[in-house]
Parts: sequence; C-alpha cells; structure tokens
Amino acid sequence: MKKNHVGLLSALIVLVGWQVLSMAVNMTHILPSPVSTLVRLWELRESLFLTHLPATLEIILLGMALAIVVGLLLAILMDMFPAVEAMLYPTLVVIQTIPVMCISPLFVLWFGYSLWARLLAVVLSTFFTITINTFDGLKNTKREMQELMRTYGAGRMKIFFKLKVPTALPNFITSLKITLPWAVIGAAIAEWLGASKGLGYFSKRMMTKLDGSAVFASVLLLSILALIGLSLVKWIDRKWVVWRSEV
Amino acid sequence: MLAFNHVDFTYPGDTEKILDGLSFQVQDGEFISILGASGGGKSTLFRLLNGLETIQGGSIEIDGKNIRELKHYCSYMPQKDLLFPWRTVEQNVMLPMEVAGVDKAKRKKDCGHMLRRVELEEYAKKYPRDLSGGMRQRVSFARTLCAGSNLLLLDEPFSALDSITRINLQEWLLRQWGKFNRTVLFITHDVEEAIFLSQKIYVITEKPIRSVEQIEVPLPYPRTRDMLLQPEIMRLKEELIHSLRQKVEA
Repeated sequence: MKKNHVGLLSALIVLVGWQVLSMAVNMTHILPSPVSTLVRLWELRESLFLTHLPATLEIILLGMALAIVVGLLLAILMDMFPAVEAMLYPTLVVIQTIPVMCISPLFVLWFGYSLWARLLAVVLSTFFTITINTFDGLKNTKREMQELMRTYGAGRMKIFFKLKVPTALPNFITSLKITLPWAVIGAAIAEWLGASKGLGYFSKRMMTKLDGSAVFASVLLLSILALIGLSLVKWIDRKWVVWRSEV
Repeated sequence: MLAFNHVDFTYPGDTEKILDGLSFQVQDGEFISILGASGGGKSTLFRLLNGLETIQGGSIEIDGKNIRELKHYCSYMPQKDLLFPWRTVEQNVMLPMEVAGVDKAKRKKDCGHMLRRVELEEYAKKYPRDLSGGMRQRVSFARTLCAGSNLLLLDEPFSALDSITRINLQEWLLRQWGKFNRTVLFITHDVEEAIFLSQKIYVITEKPIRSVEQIEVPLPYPRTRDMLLQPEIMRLKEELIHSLRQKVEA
C-alpha cells in the first residue's frame, strides 16, 4: 500500500469514528458531525463563498503581500548594513515572541474595525519569519562565489541580483511555506476580534447562535484555504527552485 | 608580460608578512606552474593579481602598466568549480560577459564558440548537477576563458578530482593551451602535475616569499605521459620534492 493510501485510510477512519461519536452524543451544537458540517456548508454556501471567504482571502493576500515587502526589505537592509542588523535583530526576536492573539484587541482599539487592524495581525504573525529566513539565505552566499564575481568586475548590485538573490530564494520560499498557515490563523483571529465579515467573524457569530456545524463549516474552509496556499507554494518551489539542495 | 616588482604584502590585521620584496616575471604565452606546499601563500599571489587584495609595497605590472589602472587583465579560475546551480552550463559560461555588459547576441555567440572548443556544446542547456566533476571543471574553464583576458590564473583546478579524470584533464588543458595561445599561471602542490604541464616551474620554498626559484622543464610540446619516465625528469621530480619537503620540515 502506498504512503498516501495509508494517509487517506486513516483520515477516513477518523471521519467515520467522528461521525459515529457525534451521532451517539446527538447534540449538534456541541459535537457536529462531518456530514452535518458538509450540509451546513452547502446550505450557507452563498454567504460563505460570496461574502466571508472573499473577505478573509483579501486579508490573507494583502497581509502576506505586505509582510513579504516588509520582510524582504528588512532582510536586505540587514544584509547590506551590519549596523541595521545589530539594531533590528534583537527587536525582531522580541516581536516574534508577542502572541498576536493576545494583542489583537489592541489593534481594534487603535484602528477600529478597519482593514488595517486585521492586516496588522497577519503581518505581525508572519513578517518576522520571512525576514529571518531570507536574511539567513542572503548571509549564506558563498564568499568564494562573491569573490569570483568581483574578479569579473561585478559591483554590489550585480553581486546582489546575480548571486545573492538566487542563493536566498529557497530560504524565502521556505519562509512562505512556514508562514502561510499562520497568516490564515492570524486573519481568522483578527476577524474574531473585530470585523463585520470574514470566515473568522462568521464562525464567531455562529458560535453565539450555538450552530456548531456552521462553525465547523467555516473552519473547514479556512483549512482548505491554507492547504491550497501551501500546495501553490510547493508547486512554485518544485518548478522554480530546482537548486534548493545545492546552495 | 607580467612583472612583480619588489612586492610586499601582509594580510590586513596580520603581523606576519606573506610577500617580502618579491620580484619575478612571466612572458606572454608561457605556461608557468607555481609550485609550493599548502599554506605557503601561492593563492595569495593570485588574490593580489586579480585585485581581491591590495599590495602594500612595490608594484604589479602588465606590459609596463600598473594593474591598478587596468581592468579585465586576468581571468581567474578557482579551485572549486563554483558553478551557479541555478544557471545552465551556457548561462554559467556567459556570466563573466554578462557582468562586463556584453550584449546578448555576442554573449550567445561567444559562449557557443567556447563550448564547442571545450567539447561541451551538447551540454549547453544542462544544469551543473547533471555533469561529472571533470565536466564541471571544463565548464569552469570555459567560463574563465569567457572572462576574455590573455592571462589565465588557474588555482589548483584539478586538485579535487580523482586521478584518472585529473590526468585526462591535464592532457586536455595542454591541448587547450595550444589552441588558445594565452599565458597560463597554474598553481599546484603536485610536482608531477607541474612538470607535465609547464614550460617553467616557479618554486616557492620560503615564508615570507622573497623569491621564486625558476626551473625550466626540459621537455618539448606536445607532451605525453611517458616523457615523465625519462631519467632526467625523474631526477628533476626528486629534486623538487626534496626542496619542498625541506620547507615543510623547517
């Protein structure tokens, strides 16, 4: 039996067990079954797919884009100027330890129910990892290769674009793989705390209505979102970063 | 002609001199091996020549001009092939021209020409990982030639290869040298390699380096490996090994 067959089988066993258990418990608001979750997903499809999913997707994509811009910028600056590295590195480590979930209410206080409050949650939970990974990649550039470029007459810019960027690219892609699920979580949490639409907001509202199946339906969509994002990044990785193991 | 004139050099932050008033000359079109034990400062000579380090006294001149005022006067081939894994063979070979700002059509043409000369044209679109160690060194050599200057600095290019590949590449390099008619400075710590390849051997036996001992290899080109078995050459080999060992023991 192949590896993914085993994976499928065990997933199936879990799902069936879950279905049986929830039928035994027979309280949908406490333990909704997989079937009732799918049913709710179908019943609520219009508002889920047309209102809430696009709203969450918007935050994830904008937040990730912002985190990538900020992350890359910091990584490049840190690589170019040791003084910036000395200044920023400790701060970044501190920022990383902040549990975004706990301070998100503050963002709502600062920015209200605005897009910015939600974006900040996504950016804060992801940019650090992007910065550090990319920075490490840039630092990993082989000195001999840089020297070789210099013997060809290359200046800093040419060394950066022709050597450092390709060297750091695998690390950058890895950081995307790591942070993408965090971005989804960050977006959902931010919506829980302060939003008028989005899958996070939706699941909170359904919670107050004791509609467990609907809560699970939106959670299901969130994880599917993360999975699609991950396979996209993996595809890019396989297609474009064929030298990963050789840098 | 390349000339070192009373060159002094100490690595920044070090107290120990590497070069102390070193002078020597290399004529155009010569194949010269620089032979010395490991850690003796051979590679430093190249780092000074290719501008990675700056001398503190004396001058290095090519055709009477100080290298500080020159550009693209030498092509350096490092010990490891240092091929960029994200570039195809062809793109790797074109790299020096790309850096120098040569236009694309000419890059492509010169590269194709060069790959044919090093007998690798069918690998143009392959990646370095698809190539054997020997082939990678040949690509690296082609890339060095594409840097375009008449003075080639080869820094132990075959030292990481297995002995059969190495022998093949030595013979191959001599054929290339015959075709390209460029000056070659070849660093090695292998006595036999130095004898087989070069017209003259510059032996480094002291540290700091104050002078090089110049030894002519009394063999004609084209060379074959059985020439190495001549008694005269065997004697030369023993002498060289002897003087290198003295240095190591001292």
